[in-house]
Amino acid sequence: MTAGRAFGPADGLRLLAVALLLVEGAIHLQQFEGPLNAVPTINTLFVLNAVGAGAIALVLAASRERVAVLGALAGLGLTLGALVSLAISRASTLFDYTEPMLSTAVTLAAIVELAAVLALSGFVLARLRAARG
Amino acid sequence: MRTLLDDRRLLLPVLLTALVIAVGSVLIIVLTKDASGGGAASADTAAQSAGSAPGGAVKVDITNFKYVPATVTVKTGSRVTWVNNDAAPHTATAADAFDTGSLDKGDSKPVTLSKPGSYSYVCEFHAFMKGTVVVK
Repeated sequence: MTAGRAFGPADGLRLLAVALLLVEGAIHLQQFEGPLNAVPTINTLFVLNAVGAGAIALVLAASRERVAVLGALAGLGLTLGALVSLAISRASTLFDYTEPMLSTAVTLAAIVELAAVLALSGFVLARLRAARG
Repeated sequence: MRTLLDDRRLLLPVLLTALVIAVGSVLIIVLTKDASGGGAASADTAAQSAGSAPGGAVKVDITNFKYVPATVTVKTGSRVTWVNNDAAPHTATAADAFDTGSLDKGDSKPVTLSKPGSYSYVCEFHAFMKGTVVVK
């Protein structure tokens, strides 16, 4: 059960990324169940984000390190996709949907997603550095 | 080569984090459902009472990204009032006919329609929201 090396920065970033992905998924699920349930296309995308974030968090937490790095890259794709989609809906229209104001949920989601991008990137870079060294 | 769960020191924090988030999500979902239940009932009532009015004032509720009722028929000179019950801002905008401007939650805007015709309108922020006012 116990590993041969100590808990390092990469493990901390990995743990943080798991938590942030779970929060990201929870926010999308709450928004789907609540205010965005009646919005076509966007509601489906929110469910897909929640399911994807949960699955990636599981892979990130429970996989060996090479697979975990792939999971982190998938998490980066998912989270950057959510951030870009939010930016498009703020600036113009995405699937007939515009986000004209920054609600608490939108602000919280953006902060969590930015933090997740940083944690996931940090984890991937730390693993790549360790693999080279 | 190991997973986070191979380290016993991490197992408990990971499981506790997941548990807290899961319980929190369920609570938020349950509370959100409770809060939206009353709104749906009042929207149904509005649809029955304002679907076709002989004249005077008609109210159109904006609820769950829908105009309720979606179509209203009024006499020339009648006043139609849009009331936004959603947290998201909405408009009721018919090109060259009327525009309520942005309505935040709880806001309402009356429009007097003086020319006969059928006016299709949309929400400027959410173009999938469509409604019609028929003025006779």
